[in-house]
Amino acid sequence: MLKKFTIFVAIVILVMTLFIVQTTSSYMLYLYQMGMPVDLKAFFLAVWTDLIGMNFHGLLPPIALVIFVVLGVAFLVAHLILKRISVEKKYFYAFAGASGMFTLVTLFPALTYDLEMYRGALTLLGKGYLTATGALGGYIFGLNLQRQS
Amino acid sequence: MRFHFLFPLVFILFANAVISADSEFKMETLAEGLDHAWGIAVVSDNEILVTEGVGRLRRIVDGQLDPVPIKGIPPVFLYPDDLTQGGLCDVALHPRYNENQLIYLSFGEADKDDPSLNAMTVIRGRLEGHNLVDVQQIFKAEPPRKTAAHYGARILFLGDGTMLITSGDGFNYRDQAQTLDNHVGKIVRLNDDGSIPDDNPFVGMKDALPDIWSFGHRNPTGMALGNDGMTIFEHEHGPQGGDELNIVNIGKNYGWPLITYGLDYSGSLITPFTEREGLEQPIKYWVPSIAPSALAIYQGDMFPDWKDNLFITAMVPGDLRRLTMINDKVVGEEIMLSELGRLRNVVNSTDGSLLVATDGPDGKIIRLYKN
Repeated sequence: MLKKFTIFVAIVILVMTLFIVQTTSSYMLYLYQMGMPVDLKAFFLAVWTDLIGMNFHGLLPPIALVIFVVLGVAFLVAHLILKRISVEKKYFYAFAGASGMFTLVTLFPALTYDLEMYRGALTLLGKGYLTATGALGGYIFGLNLQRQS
Repeated sequence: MRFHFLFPLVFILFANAVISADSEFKMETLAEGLDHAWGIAVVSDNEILVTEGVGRLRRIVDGQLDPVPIKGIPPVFLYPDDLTQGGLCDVALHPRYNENQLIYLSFGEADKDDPSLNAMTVIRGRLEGHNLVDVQQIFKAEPPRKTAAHYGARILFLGDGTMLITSGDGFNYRDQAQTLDNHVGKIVRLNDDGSIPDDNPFVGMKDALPDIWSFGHRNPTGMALGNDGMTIFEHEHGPQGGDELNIVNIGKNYGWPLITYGLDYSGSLITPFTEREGLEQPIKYWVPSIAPSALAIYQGDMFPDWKDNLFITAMVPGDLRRLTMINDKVVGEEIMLSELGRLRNVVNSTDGSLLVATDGPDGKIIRLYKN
């Protein structure tokens, strides 16, 4: 159980990092296109700042907590369904992770009157990427469960 | 000799006491029960117009709120219903109102082709008793947007008879504040009939809208003309921190979202930059945010100490800021009325008193005066 939880936490950290890198990339790319002096050093410094900022300086709940809850619920539901059906775990958890992240990036604006609080999720491409991070996290989690069993 | 260092301290304490005595004011409530009061226009010594966000224009005559709203106001776009932003916003009088009875109103209006979209719109109409007649649209922000936030919507007449209108970035559309083919994050300048003045900065420029006066703004909800008749002060909401007070000049770029002193609501950066050549700096900024909602420059004689001071209503945590200026630089800030909650507007009255509007579904108009 402890091992499963450790893997889950590691996956939350992975998905959170991918989420934040995409958030940072979305505005840094815009700034670069607008002629602002963006270089690699500035980019990585911004990623680091966002890792701290999105967990400790936001008006929204810390992003690590949000992803922990989203993936936690998604994987719990997947776990319950997998007791009744027979599907390869890595694919079903990937589907669950994708569903969780998709729900987050599509339903969050509905809670905030269409205001897009997560800048990386503003475009369809961004929503797709963030959904894919959930799929990746779920796939790794399911793969580990398969190996354990 | 060794106590000489106390002299400046004593002087400061004495000076503050004098300032306090001259600045003492009393408050009286002129009207209450206003549903999200927003704009205030002082018509005469005994008449005031007030907008309510829900779409009503009200009249206060001889200190009494007229129970009958003015008819003829177009329907306004309300979303969400609890109206945190948008709805009916500002009201402004034509500079020759006494001759023509023309007033101007700004509000969010549903798009006629797609009702899920809306746009900040300005109309003008003639006030006849309890009716607004001869209503015509003189400005509509392009393109329409999905969100109901960051309208700007402040109207200010300049000494030459033209008018400035602020248009916010709509929250989701901030990147467009840097391009000139839209009204997102812009201040526009129009003639009183909505036509475009020939001397606007981008007239004749390819891919630029000719009504734009300045750009790179976020959500500019306050604007006032300095007592010199030339300087235009403007403030805008920053994101999380970074509310700005600017002096707005023709054709200038105020930087949003390329530079800012604030963070995104998620806690991420919007930009790592706070300054850049070609982008204007604010004359003051606030971190954390105070959510500035309106701006007035004191013009009266009732409070001699307040002459030429800037008054800014703030919604977070809710107070009135008195800014002392020397040569367009802010040299002092006093926080007043912090017991009234979110404040929405402040204007000069004809007798030298100040009128302040509180925010919310039970908004009040409060008069600050001295015996």
